[in-house]
Amino acid sequence: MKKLQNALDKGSTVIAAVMCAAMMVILFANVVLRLIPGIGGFKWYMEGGQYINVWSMLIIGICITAKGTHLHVELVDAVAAKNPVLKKLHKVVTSIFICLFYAMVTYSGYQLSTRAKQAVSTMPQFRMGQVYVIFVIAGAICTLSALVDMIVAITEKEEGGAAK
Amino acid sequence: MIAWLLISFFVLLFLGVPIAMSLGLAAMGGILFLGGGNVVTIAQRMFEGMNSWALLAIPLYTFAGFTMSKGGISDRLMNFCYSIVGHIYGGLAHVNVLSSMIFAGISGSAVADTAGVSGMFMPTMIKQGYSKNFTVAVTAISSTIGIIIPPSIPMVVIAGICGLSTGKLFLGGIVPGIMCGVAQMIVSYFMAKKEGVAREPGHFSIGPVLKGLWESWPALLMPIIIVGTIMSGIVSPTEAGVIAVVYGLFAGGVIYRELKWEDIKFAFAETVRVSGRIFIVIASAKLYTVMLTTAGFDKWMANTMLGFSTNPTVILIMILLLFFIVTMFMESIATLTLFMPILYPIATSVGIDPIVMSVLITVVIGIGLVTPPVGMCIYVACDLMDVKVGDVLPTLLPFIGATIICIALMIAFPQLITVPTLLMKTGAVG
Repeated sequence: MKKLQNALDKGSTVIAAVMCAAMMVILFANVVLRLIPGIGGFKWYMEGGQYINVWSMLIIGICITAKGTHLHVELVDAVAAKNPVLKKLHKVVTSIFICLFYAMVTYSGYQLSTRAKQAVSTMPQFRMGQVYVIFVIAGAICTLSALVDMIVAITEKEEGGAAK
Repeated sequence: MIAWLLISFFVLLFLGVPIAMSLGLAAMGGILFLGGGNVVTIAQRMFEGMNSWALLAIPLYTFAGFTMSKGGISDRLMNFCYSIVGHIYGGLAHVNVLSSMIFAGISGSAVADTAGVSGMFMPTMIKQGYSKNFTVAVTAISSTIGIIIPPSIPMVVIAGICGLSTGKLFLGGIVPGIMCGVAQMIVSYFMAKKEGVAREPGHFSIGPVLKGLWESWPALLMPIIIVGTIMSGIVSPTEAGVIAVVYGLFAGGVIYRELKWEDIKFAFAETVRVSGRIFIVIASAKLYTVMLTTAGFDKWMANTMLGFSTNPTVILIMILLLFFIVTMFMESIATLTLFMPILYPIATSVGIDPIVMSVLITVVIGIGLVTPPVGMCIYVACDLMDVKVGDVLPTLLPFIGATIICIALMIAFPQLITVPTLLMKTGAVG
């Protein structure tokens, strides 16, 4: 399970980082081309950059969920840290809520991408249904990642102490 | 509906459920069980929250900060700052503050500064006889300048939410950032006297300053490039971010020759992780805010505040107090995404300058970063030095007091914020 957790972490980080780099290249190329007289930039740089960024940020959600590093209030963590049973119970409760959240995002994303099949974005001629499909893909894998993170946290001690 | 949204959110938040999920699940509950709309709106609103041109600047400035801090800037920057303020009593504390002010012009994140440049300087301060509490306090508070002096991630978020000019917000933050830095140096001077730390050897001379300037000019050029290109209207603040990225790679890889391929991979991985945590909160907060507005929370808030007073200064102070209290308990980006859409129309309706209000809110958020239970900077600094947050708080209070005096001055003289914004030419979007 730990291997799956690491694979989700590394895989999503690589994909998101490549997309982030692509977004940077598009924006920089546009700035350079715009300053050259007679050439101009890309018409689609703004929407294109934004869509790639949204995809990248949703994909990196898989890594954040798999590693359990979402931003949160750490009050309960501090209290639960002293009691291993409470700590695991806390992890189970929070993981259930995270799973619920991403399951809803997946379902809503599916509904949205189905309804927006015919809608087309203005500058890059993308079908919006294809743009929104990232909610289904990332949402489903995030749900799985939350479960993996929970199982790793619960079984950690049984496997022989601290995480390797 | 309002009661459900507020109670369910705070219960989940204090159960330790991540902020994004607490916001999202509270809103989803409203949609599913209280007839707050169609299930499609969940993904739709989340997409709207993330799909912003202004918010693209977040990964860009985060990456630029990582490349510069990994590319050999830290030591050179410290030497340069030491040559300028090292001779003053409490010299190392002043170096810590000044380097944070300069690093603020490179990275838009306060936490990046605490964990990076300032954090690396803490062992040196301890070695020279500064107490752990003083060292941690000055490191944490000086890092908050990172979000006031441009570029600033919270300002990018405010601009994205309220449709304000990111460039004007950036320029508006310059004087307040310098004011806060100077105020922190004054407090450091008196605290160093109180602690009786040894004075640094030597005195001010132009030679070491010029040497430091020669060694660190590529780093010092970064804020000038960012602000200069925005002010001239050649590029938008988001595009200035990508110029900062390319310049950061050039400075670290070609000029300093210290940026390795491993560092670039690390910078990309950390950039997407840091930005991803922020974006998921922004997406959920967008959904939650729409639900709050549908439930009429904005009208209730406006009636309550305007029922108390319609004086712009009173309303501004009330807004700042609200942010001061909320950022003690909530992460800053989530607070901004939640409250700015609600408070912005109230503020503009009574004639408050949106740029002044936004810059002041950014300064207040800085205080939130060093106050428990959710102060990220103080936790990072305490963690690095292995001290308890509670022990550092008394040492931190004079610094917070000095920042509050700066805020009062900015309220009294808003020109400190607005005058630099007049220098901006309009050109590129944003």
